[in-house]
Amino acid sequence: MEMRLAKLWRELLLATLILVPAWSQSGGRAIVVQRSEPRGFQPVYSVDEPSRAVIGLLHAPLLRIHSETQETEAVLAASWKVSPDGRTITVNLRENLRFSDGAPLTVADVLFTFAVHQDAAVASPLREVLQVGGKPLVVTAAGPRRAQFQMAEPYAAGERLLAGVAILPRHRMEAAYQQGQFRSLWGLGAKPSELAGAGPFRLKLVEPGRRMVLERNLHYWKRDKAGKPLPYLDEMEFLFTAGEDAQVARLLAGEGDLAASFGGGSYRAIESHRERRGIRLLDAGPSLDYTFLLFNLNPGGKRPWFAQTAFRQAVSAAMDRESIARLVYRGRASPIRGPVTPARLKWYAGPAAPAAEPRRLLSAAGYRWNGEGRLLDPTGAPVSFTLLVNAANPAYTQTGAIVEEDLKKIGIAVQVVPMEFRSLVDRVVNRKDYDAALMALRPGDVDPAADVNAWVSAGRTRLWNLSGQALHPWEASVDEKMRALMATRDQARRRRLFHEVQRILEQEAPMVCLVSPNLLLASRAGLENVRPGTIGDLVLWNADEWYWRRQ
Amino acid sequence: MTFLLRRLGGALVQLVAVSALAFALMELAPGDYLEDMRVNPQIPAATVARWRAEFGLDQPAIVRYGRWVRSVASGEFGVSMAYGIPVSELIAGRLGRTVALSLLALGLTWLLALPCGVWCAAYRGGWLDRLLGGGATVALALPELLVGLLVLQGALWAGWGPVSGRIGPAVAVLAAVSFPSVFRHTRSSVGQSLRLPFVDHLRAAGLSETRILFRHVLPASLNPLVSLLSLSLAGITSASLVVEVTLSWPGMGQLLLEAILARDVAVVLAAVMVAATLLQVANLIGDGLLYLADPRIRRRPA
Amino acid sequence: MKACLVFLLAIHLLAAMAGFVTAYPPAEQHRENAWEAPGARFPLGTDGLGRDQWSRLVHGARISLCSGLAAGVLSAGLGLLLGGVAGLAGGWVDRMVTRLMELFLALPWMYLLLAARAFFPLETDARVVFTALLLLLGAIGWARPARLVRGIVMSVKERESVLAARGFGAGQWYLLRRHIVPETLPALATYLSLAIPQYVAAEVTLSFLGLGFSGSTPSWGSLVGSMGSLDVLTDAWWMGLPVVVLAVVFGCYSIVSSALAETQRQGR
Repeated sequence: MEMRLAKLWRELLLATLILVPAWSQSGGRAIVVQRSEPRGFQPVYSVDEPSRAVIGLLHAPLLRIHSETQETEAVLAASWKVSPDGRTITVNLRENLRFSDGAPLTVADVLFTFAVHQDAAVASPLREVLQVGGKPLVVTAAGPRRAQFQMAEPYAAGERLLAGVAILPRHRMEAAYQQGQFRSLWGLGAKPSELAGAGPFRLKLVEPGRRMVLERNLHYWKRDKAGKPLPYLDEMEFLFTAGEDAQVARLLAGEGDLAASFGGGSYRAIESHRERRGIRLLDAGPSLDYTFLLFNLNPGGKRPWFAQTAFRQAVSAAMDRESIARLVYRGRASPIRGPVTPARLKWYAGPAAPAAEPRRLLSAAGYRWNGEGRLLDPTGAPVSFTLLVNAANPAYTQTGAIVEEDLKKIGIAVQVVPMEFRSLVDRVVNRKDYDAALMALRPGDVDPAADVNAWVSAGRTRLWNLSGQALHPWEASVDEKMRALMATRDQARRRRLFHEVQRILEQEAPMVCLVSPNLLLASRAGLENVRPGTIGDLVLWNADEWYWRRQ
Repeated sequence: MTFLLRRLGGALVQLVAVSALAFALMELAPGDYLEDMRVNPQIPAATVARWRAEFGLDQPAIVRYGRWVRSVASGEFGVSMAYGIPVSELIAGRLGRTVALSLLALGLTWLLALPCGVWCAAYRGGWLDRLLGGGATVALALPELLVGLLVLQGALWAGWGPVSGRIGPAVAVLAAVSFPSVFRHTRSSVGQSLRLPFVDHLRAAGLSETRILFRHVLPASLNPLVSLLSLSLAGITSASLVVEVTLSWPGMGQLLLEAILARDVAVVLAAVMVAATLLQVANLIGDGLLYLADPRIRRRPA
Repeated sequence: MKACLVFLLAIHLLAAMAGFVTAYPPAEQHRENAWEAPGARFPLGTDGLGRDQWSRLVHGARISLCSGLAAGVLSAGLGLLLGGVAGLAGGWVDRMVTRLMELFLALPWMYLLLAARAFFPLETDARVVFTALLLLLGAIGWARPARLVRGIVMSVKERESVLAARGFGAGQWYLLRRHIVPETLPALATYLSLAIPQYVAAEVTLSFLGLGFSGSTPSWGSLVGSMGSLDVLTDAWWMGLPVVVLAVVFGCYSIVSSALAETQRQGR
């Protein structure tokens, strides 16, 4: 219901978008209150969100995944074509593309960009991503405005590989690259005049720790339907604060025009002030994020019960997800039973089958209860385990308390252990010395390609079992289906396979999925076209279309 | 002169010891900078391995410490793993703002707390004593984090306009947080001196009470208060981390908070060195004050 | 003074009999009654999970008062010892101890706490971990009282009465017991009145640094911390009530401790 409303809302907004350009007003500045500062302007190495937010406005890729439709969309490319065998992608660049410094953007820049990412000496985080079947993409120029990408074997999400790879200005970066100084290029201290990109904005001013101002890129390629050049805004400013409360306070104090990625509590705080302050609030329903209770299913795990599907199912069935969403997230989260949230429009398999009664599941598996209501396993040992939670985030400690109480009701003693985040990850990933942990993951895309690392045996982030091997038939089955769906371009078949994987994960519950925090956004009334998306930057993805309504 | 030189030499040794111990402490804690990339499905394992080698995290601790020392010698103070630039460049602008905030807060605290403490010691149980005593108690029960939040909330509620990123509110909150300690110690220490016999002699000589308090009793109780000076500076620099973050003051606070959590070793070490240096300076000033004010100490060689 | 003692006694009695004076266990969640304002059923209201704030306050008193007190006394004791030795001995001993103080004031101890937390097996009772970490904080915190004590000892030992006593051949031990330790007591009492609240509330700052450690064990630190967000300050004023109680308790502690130091001084 929530989703449908959100969709309706989006469609209404889209309708107004088509009507507005005739009377929309260019100019002005929008101030975004961010919780964290970019670490630099280097598009290759930046993996943190605050840097990516700014870099996303300074640079542009060939293709991108539209944040609302979740389909591939041409950006610097005028068009693209995938060969029938699924191994070659041909991309045609738009005419007269220019970087923000006025230099032309040609196929040479495209070749340079991919050469940089694939160079082992550069150590780009995309190096392995830009490999198919263990072999790098072969990028060639097939004309002055045409580039060809060849893959060693058919890959289902081929063109999605290109999405998000910002095209770098060769004339600005090649010297440093040749001299082996690529990493120190475009750090936080870089002068705006050193930078160039093909995004809608360019850097104007940096005040470290305080704010950052971008101004419109006069050479930006995009125009609206009336032929007016984008972006509408003259300037974008980022105001840096730390912590949600400071972010909300600055928005409410009138220092900023927009804030996002805050939690339900902050939503609530803004809600009680918004009338007076002219703030518009938006809850766009579930995001791609999923929080889950993770069982340690590594070989050599200390808790024999975890290996039993019935036990994990009983734990999943005992969870009061509604309460977590209502109490911990103050109603701004959506209960989920599997790792794929409804926000992944075409990939979501629909609600899971209703769960059986937890006590029935347990007694069928040979568990009993003693006189005090404690759960005993078939050998007569009482069932108890520890649950690691990230101490820095109150939402996790509170979720932990709810899980503890829910499992107490079926006789399981859970001890919640709050722990500093990196200590926690060290236990889960390196030492594998834990029973269960509360974690959250954010897939980078809606396409199943984003889940491969997290779910298949060979993936380094299959947190429940990092042995690299399939220890159970269902793990092997997930491996098989994921492999099959990444090797075909038959979208209907991919969907079917992906739905099957979801059902397996819901059924086997190696991760007991709990909730997906909703996408929340607050903006000043009058700033139009601000719409939360699901992929990439959740708010800034269409900043080139924002404008101030004429008063 | 030799005294100063010896002090300087001692301070250098001290800074080396601080950096080595701080480094060792960071080694003790589990996890490293790359930990959160290990749970990010979007970052391939090979990238994490390569970055590990590039940051030198695969080297033994002693090698990394040696590398850091060499980098200090060249004036870079190490390279931040998160920002990819030398720490000296990273903290250049912010350090000054943190030091300014801390010193202003220190000044304000002492300016308020010292006279209040002296006055309340002389007029124990008076209305000011009761009021300030009660206020200090409430301030003690509230950690600096909450005081900052209350100011944010109060500003919103009363419509004072923006308070974030401004130095005034940040100084006020820091001073409010560190007031109780200076106030109470002054009050107790002056109270003790007031009972010394010489006070009665001065009273008998017909000096005014205010004059006795501020010209005679206060200098007599200076020694413990000077010790308190460097302590309150240490307290303020650590509290300023939290206050800067809650009130968005663009100093080292946020940078350091993220660096601590991210195990960005070079940034944390730099901050520790700054704190240690400040402490040394405060102690030097304190000793100088004592030397000037307390003839009993001046008699003996330092 | 008397009123304070009575109040403190009452609080400690309440904490000792926490189970009898509360209607619900502190961790019990009344999920339908989340964010309920104080009333007949929940005298101090409920928190976001519907837990009885009164019960959390009374049960939290146990662990917080005990470990806060212990950490404060530990740091004061160590400080008295090391600061006293430094002040009395002077010379290189003093220089060493002073250096050590500066070291302790500047180091990033948070990492030691992380290492200590990792040292405990996960199954360790949360209360044990809590107390151990707070005691560790107390042990680390010796430098502050030591600096104060050193300053006082240095000025006291030059005082005429002490010099006279020494002239009459009084031993070090006698001087220490009769002249020097009593002089430091008021300052230490003041220090304790400041340190105990800080140790009790240390958890708030630590969880801000990502190192909360109380888990589902109710503690005063977590109570104070739970009012620390804008939405709670806006909607749920009663979450601030525990702070009022804390302030009164700390105030009483301060009055009682300075009165005790005074009688000690006069009674010698």
